[in-house]
Amino acid sequence: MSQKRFVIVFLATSVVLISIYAWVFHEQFGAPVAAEYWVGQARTVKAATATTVVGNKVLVVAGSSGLFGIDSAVMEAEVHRPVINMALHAGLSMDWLLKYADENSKNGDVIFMPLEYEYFVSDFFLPSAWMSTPVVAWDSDYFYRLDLIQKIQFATSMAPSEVAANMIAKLNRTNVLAQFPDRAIIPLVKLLNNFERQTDSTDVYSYLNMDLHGDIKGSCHTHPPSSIENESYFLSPGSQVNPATLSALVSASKKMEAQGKRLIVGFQPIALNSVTTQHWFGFKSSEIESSLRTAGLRVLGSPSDYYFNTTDFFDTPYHLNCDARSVRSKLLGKQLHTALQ
Amino acid sequence: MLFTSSEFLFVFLPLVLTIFFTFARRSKALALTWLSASSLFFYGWSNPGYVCLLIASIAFNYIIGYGMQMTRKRGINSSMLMVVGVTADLCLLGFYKYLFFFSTAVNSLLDTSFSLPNFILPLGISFFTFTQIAFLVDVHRGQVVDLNFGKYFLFVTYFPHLIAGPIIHHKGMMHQFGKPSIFKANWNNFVIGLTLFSIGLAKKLILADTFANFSAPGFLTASLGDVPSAAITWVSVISYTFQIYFDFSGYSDMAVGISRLLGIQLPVNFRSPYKSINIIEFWRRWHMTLSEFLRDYLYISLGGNRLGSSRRYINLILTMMLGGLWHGANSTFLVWGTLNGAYLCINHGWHQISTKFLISKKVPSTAGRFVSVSLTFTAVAIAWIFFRADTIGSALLMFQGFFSNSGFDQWHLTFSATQSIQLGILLVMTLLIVWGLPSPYDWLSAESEGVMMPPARVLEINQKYSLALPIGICILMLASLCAKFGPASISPFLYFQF
Repeated sequence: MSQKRFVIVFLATSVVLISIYAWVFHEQFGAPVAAEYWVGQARTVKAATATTVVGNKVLVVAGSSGLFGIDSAVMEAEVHRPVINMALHAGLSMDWLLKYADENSKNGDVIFMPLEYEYFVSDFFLPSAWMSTPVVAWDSDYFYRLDLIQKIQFATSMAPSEVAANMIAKLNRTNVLAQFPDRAIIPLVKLLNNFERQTDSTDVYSYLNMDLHGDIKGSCHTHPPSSIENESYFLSPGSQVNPATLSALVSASKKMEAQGKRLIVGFQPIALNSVTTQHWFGFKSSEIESSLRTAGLRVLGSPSDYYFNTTDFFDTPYHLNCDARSVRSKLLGKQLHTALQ
Repeated sequence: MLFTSSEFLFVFLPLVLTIFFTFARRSKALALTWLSASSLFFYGWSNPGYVCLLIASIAFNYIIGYGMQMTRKRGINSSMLMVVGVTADLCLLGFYKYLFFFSTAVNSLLDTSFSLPNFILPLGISFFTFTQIAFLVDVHRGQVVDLNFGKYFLFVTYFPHLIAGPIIHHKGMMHQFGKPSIFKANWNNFVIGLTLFSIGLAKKLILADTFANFSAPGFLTASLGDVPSAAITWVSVISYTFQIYFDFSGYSDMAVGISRLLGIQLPVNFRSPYKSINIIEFWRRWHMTLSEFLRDYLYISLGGNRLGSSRRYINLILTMMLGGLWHGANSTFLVWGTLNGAYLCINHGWHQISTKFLISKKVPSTAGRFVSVSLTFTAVAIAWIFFRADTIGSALLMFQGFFSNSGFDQWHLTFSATQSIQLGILLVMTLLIVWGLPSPYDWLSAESEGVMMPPARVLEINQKYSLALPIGICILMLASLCAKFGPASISPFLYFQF
């Protein structure tokens, strides 16, 4: 009998301990931890901007290669439709981006996703270390929208020490915010008022440093890091398109199609360097393009259309400077105009 | 599939257990078939391509074994068939494991350029091949009675032991598959199985995986051709010595525990090896089933100690060299095996001298024990350097690192302050666990001898501490799983590569 009791006590203890952990996990959301708050603020501002556009528009959704690499006004002139730059940060997962694109578009809109290569070759079901912090700090809705399996995957992708640190920060909220006021969640109205005032921001990475299209301002210098010479953009000779990513893109495309929207996938700008000029890099990027096309997705251009010199980049191997982004935007605009006819 | 993976813990294992006991109510054969099918699924999870190879190997060995049995019954010598079977098994192993190694050696010796396609090593090939070689030898020796194909198939594929052992014997397993008791869910088995499994899980996820972070930097520096600083070398070597112990013994504890949930007892594979007072004892406590295999099927077949002491030493070295090569086709394993063979020879020689001059009686027993355990541990740790290093050159750089005058250089670049504190805590915990606590099998069992041990003492403990034990085991299991939480947390077992 006592052996049976062992199993019962074991199971009961498991239930109690797992419940306690789940409660602590739930309570950590909203903790004022170090996270990229500007991404959340930019998301809110861009979403509000997108709703104000009348008529069918083009929404550019990508990571920061899109945020820095699109000149919406140049693109608009070529494509003859309003263009809103919705791009944010490549640390956001693919499902996050697709949901964001879907929520901010309507019937007749075109969603153009010139994605970074890591989106195609990584498994977004395994949350990255980058992704968990913003979700805890400013986007708990993302977690609660996940299905049970994904919730478990997300929960297990965070070390208990991280959860504990988040919980401590939350319990110590007043002191943390006194020390780091920029970690406060700004109410929507105030955020939009600040943005509409179009005050100049000294920080490039700020929602206050975006124009009314959502493009980043003041990115006209050229000082990319020396690592740009060896940047491989997450590709390697063994890279494969992740089937889960492909399937997510295909089902999102079908869903959008049914709503009268159009999803078009594209590619990020690439620096010509010692890695990207190798044969395998061209082969792998072409392989990604053909996988997307074979899966029935609409694809704009080819990876080789968006190669730039290393001096065309602003501060990272992903961010074009303002001159190069105009060149790219003109090309993208022309390609998109043709594709939409 | 890893024992520590979510899909194993929360889907595969509960499903296998539930369906096995449900089927067992209707038909024992159906339950055993389910177990075989589940085992094949377990094996094919990461690479389904090699399931056919496993099935072919089983079918071939069964046919040879059956043929040998028939031949024996007719009074004809079955040696020829055994040689064919064992040779074919070794060829299969050689093809996948050693062909590339030998072709590289031939190319460098003869300045040729044979090129071979790169194969992915089939998971557990060394284990299932050795299990079946032992079966063929046992048939030849007349030690096999039950030749039911279904049970034989399960004997080889049985998932708790299939990928990384323990290496099991036909005679120890076949009768268990027919025991009526295994077909009924048994609370006692659950208590023992869950306890052993949790201990193994904690060894792997809390201890081995943490030590892995400290063992890697030194060996990585050496593999890049640099001499690691003294402090990093010492930490890397000591950490690896504990990592491999907790990793492999943790896996074995989990295997024994999982099997016990099904009511089937697997042989014990580790019993506090670092407590050994000499290298002979070490090999009786470390990877016990491989040691027994090497002793019974190789050392004794080579003549053992029956042909004089010089021949005995040669046999010891040869056995350990082949034992080293069993781990993989790399000269580092060969050196590791040879070194252990040399240790054994020195140990046997020392035994003769110390017995002759009554040395052991002249040294106080506590001091003698301390020196012996320390010396054995040091010798084993030195040998592990070759086992872990990617080339002999890297291993030699590690030796240079021990005595380099760089002290704590690179330390702060390699480990954070938190990691340094973590290492201190980990080492204190490890000292306590490795030398202060009994092995789980000694702790759990009233018996201490014999390979097939029913760890019965846990039941007594559970009677006595009916709340503390399940709560403690539950906390241990959940703490282990929590240690696995974090991005990119796949941590395969070291012995999966063998």
